[in-house]
Amino acid sequence: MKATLEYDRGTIVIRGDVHVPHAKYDSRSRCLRALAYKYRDIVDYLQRSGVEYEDNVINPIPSPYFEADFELRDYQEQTLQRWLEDKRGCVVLPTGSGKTYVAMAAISEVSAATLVVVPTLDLVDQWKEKLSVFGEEWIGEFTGRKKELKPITVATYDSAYVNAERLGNRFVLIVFDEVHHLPSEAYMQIAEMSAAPYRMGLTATYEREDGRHELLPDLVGGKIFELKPSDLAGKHLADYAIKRIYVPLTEEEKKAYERAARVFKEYVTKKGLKLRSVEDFHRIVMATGYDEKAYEALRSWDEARKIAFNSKNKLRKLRELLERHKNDKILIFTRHNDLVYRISKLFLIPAITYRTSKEERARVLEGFRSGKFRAIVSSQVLDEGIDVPDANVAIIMSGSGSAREYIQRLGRILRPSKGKERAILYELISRETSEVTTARRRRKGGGVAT
Amino acid sequence: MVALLPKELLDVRRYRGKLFPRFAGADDYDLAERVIKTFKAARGKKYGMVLKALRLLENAKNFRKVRGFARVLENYCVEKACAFGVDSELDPVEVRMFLFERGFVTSKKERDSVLKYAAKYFNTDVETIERAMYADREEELVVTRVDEITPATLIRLYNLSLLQTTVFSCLRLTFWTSSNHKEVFRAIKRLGLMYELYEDAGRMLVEVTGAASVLKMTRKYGTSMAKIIPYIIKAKNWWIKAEILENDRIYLMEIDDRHRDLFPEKEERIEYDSSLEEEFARKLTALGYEVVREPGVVKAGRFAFIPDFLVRKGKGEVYVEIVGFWTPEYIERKLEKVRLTDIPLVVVAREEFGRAEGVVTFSKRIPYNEVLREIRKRLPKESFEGEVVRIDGIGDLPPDYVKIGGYAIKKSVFERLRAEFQRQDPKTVEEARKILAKYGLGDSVLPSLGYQIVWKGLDRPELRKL
Repeated sequence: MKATLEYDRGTIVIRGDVHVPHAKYDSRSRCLRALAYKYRDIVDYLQRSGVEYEDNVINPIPSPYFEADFELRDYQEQTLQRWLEDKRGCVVLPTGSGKTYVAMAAISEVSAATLVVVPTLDLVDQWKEKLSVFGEEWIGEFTGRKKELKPITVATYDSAYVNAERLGNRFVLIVFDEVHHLPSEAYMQIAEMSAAPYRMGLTATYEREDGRHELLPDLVGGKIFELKPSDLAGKHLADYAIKRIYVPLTEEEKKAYERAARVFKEYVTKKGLKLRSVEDFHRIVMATGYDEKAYEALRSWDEARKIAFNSKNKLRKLRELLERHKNDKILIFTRHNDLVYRISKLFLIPAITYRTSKEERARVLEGFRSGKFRAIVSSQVLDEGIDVPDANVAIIMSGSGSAREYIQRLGRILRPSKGKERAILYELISRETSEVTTARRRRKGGGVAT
Repeated sequence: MVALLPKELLDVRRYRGKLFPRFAGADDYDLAERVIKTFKAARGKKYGMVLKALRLLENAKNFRKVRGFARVLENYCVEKACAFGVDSELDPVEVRMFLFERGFVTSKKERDSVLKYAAKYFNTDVETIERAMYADREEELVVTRVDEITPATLIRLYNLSLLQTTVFSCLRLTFWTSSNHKEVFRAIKRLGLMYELYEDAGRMLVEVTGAASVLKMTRKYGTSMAKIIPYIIKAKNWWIKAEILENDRIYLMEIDDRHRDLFPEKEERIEYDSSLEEEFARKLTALGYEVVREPGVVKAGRFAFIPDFLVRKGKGEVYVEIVGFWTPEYIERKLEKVRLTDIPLVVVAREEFGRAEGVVTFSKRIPYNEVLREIRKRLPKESFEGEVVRIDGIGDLPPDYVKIGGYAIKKSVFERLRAEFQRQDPKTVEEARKILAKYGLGDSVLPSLGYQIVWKGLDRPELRKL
């Protein structure tokens, strides 16, 4: 009997008297079953061993031949050639270096149904706009607000995850933008439940703090090309300087900080805990369920951090910097939304947070581009993918210890543009608080020349 | 329908590989009441105030419940609205865009002058501009409506949310229900899940997984599994086992209908009347049978049955079981037991799971004709102790009886009657009835004897020979 391969809700069902790698017997439906992303391996195996089979797995969205010419920079061309060798793998290039064009050239080469997965709706819009060179009628989006299936479909990670079983066999090429998001427990199933034989990952920051980037070679293909911001600074990216400013807490804040920090420290010492990693910290969070002291300790820790992150003197310093850069285009980043709105109200600067509506966000960004607004203040959302070409000053009021967030915030001011001379990144850090360590953590492993 | 709790509010106890949701109970009544009061007191006030007030209710022990209650309550019966834009001309977005276009400012003087300018432009005062600027932020929203809800209802809704949230991290869900199979089964299909059936201690257990579950431990299907829960606990009897993956460890969570009172009342779940069981009871009652739902355990020798219905007609009793999930082997064993014990049991089963001898199967609707035939077969023969028995419907008669009119009459008796009619040759209805009365029979026998009653007026029947 001829073997048959079929796609079934994120898996490949294999019937017939064959054995294939990666598959297991499924007693529920009396067949062999494998995760969809092993499709390419399974087909390779069947072909190599000369087994006759019928393949009904991929049911691609009919697509035209995509014709578009791209003028790629030398490193972009190099990247593309490297990817074409196996049509799998991750590309690591700094923000502003034109990763999107590498992907678009790949789409043009493959010229078949393609799914582009991106983290935010803003990025969906940006990708759609760029992809429209292939012909607007072929571009669709699959998101919370619209569910279209077109030859080139742009989806958010969230929608692609929820609908992974449905999308898994409709595309030949799948592109993961900001691919470092992919190896999370949930999102990785977008890759696993897809049968797409060709895959590309894009990111400026391949490594994850939790080490899960080690899953990427299996899901998308390993790192095939990498450049750091310092490799491109001055030529393809704006030149930049980083200025770290240590700001003291006010006397009052200092007292409150020390009080709160002490409660936390005492708990940690008493329990004989060592805080070396995120996991250690997570253990305390877990303990709050049965340990009242843990709950108090955590609440104090949160309080202390907020004091350090949101200190009054930082606002004073911000005032100085704003005065100094009256004629520049400024992005201000914070850790918490509260501070975003405080800054927005105090200095009359437009704010963008995850709560900002799409229309308002578009208005703010357009206003920033046109020069109507000269600054934007945001919490985390601006980290990725909002295209703000001529921003040349970034001010980090507070942030997490994540190297990725740091690089991306820096990346926001590195896009080359006419008349941009030197970009400056300011980092405000509360002196003699744990923020100093947090700031050090994000610089380490960031690959940023300082 | 249900407010789901974020992971950090998942209030559970883990002990030796088992996981116990900390359901709210009588002890939490006060807390629930205080949360409700907090919202009610905030009607017409800012939501930010509610958040602050709720924070004051929290302590290390109850903070998950406080936040959980609040979330469920908000989802259920709290409405918030922007204070501006509704009853005023000021749109917060327009106000702030106006201000930003004149920003940014770096001194109080500059700021004041921009605000003043805006106040003039919008024809209001500086203070209103200041307030309107971010009046649409969640914290600035005004609580406009809080529906009536009792602490008991809030607790029940919260418990259902907690149970469903627990199942979010479920790898495999196993359950049993005594009824409501149709809805449960439909939900499983609709949600794209897969199931396997197996028997345990005479019950059919349903094991729910997803397509990829055989290949990797995945929590992807947890959300869908959580959506089946309300259908399961709607049944009269149920049992649920969830295998839950948390921090690289698999915990077991088990719960059954003994905890029914923790959860919302039936009518707050899903409407009941459409169910197969309800329809069955209604139909049979209409046909003149007495129907007892869930008559309890029926013991027969070493076997026990838990039938869905007891159908009674006169002195006769037949049990009926509607089987939700089954395999041919399961049905075969069940029928074997029935044969061995002589229990009058009719088995009705959904045909999605196969076909089986001796079972009434159906796909969409129960074929009542067929079911009635099976019931009658099992009803004891009408007691034909007399020579003449009043009967209704079509039953099987002993061979020496004939069915005439509404009676079963012993053949020899009928012959005697016919002879007597020939002999006496009655001319009036009264005369005919006199003879019939001797045999305990009524008018409906007359046509078989060759007579007919013809009504000339309302009260003057005539007897006519055919």
